[in-house]
Amino acid sequence: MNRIEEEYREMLSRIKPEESFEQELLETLKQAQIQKKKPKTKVGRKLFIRHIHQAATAMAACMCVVIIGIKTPAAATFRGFYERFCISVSQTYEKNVKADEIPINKQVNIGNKGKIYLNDAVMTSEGISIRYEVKDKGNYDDVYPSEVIIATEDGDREVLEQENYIPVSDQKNNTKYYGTFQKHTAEIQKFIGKETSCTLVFLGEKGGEVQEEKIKIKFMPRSMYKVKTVASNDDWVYNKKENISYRIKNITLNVWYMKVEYEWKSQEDQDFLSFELSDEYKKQYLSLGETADINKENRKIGTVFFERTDDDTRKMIFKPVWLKESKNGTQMEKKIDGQGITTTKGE
Amino acid sequence: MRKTKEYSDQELSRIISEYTHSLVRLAFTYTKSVPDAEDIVQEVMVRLITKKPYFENKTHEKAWMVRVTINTSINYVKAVKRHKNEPLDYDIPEIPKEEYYLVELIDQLSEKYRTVLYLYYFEGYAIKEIAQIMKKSESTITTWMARGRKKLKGLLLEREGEL
Repeated sequence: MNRIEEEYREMLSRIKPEESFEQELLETLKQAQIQKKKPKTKVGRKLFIRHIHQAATAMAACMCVVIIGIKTPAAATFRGFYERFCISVSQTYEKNVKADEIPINKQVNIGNKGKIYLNDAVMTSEGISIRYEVKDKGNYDDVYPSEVIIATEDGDREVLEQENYIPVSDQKNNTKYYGTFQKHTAEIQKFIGKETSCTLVFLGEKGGEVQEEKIKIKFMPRSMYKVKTVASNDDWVYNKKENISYRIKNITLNVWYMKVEYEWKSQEDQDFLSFELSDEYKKQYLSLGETADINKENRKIGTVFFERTDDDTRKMIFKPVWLKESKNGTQMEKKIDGQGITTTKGE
Repeated sequence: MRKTKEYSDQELSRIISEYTHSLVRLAFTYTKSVPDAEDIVQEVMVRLITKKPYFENKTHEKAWMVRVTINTSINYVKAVKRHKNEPLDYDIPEIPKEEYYLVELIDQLSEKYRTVLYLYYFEGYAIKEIAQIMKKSESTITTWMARGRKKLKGLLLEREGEL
């Protein structure tokens, strides 16, 4: 034990900022005081904002974009990182999940005058998905879910960590989200049909301080939604003009959205690849948000979330788009000519 | 009460030389990356000059710097985690790969245990100071330290058994 402490101490003693860091920091702080402006971080994340084209669907919902801002510094092991989460105000998007729905319909207070409304939840084979509304952030700058702890009187207890949360609407102080918390099927199965105590842990951020907000509810899950892999693939597509290869690795269907994992290889290390989705009837689907990392040579990976495709469709057509940042800092997207990826939905 | 005047160049130099190294190390224990830890420290310093908090004494100032670094680092880890399914991938040039097990071992401790052990054993803070920083009672900190050490010992034995 003492040896470990000593080794750890010795290892940490090698952790030092770059030689020039202190001087650069001093200059940065002096400038920040003069300009009264927040300086850029050294390896700050790229945050791309893409306005989504209105989906060619019957619903003529007005489109707007909600971005989950990044308030924390960059992941330096990633040479690039970007994320954006956006969605239209679309009532039709809120899919009916009656079969597995656990109604909650409860409003709780958080922090100082904050309010969260819990709509409903669904137990899935990958954890639990909860639809909630941050009606009022109160004194917090930001409120988001962290984890869910579920337990029964029989002593079963599981902690499910947040996988993502996706906004459904951008109405001010009335923002609804889908929050997904992960766990494996076997660990979830045992809660079906049992009275379950659930503690939802939200985090409230205020000026760099983080406060835990615990919400306790009880419910009885009667069934479990099975998250389906609708397609998986290992084949690369090469686009000669852009000198880029890409592949859609995995497509899974969750309660309220579809998750598409992909990879790409290119020489353009500063640009990010994403996809647009349509079906065989040329209907375009909404991209709800995406994340991507460029972290190592030949390992550029991304995840994009789409609304679920219509049940009567068989094909999913993914068209690649470049997300670029120009020298003057403006963000833009460029469609890539040529071959997309067409996938047939599996059962 | 807040500091009303801006920080002079001398004050900034003093703060930077006094805290940068230890705060970068502290942030590193969360981020596993020196450039990210530097970003966190810059964020903390910027918060200091913009919020201009009032400090009763040096201990209070130190406690504020450490606490804000911890909170900012936790936010960072949460933000990365909530958008990635995989654990944080790290590549630490300062540490040989064969010593990564140490980072992984310590990483298995929960945040609170890791932080108190780090502050006590590495930075040499007294229990009372850690209690102030973490806004917990001294007995809680003592308990966390004991539990953290016990857990670490268990993990170590487990690892040695596997080898």
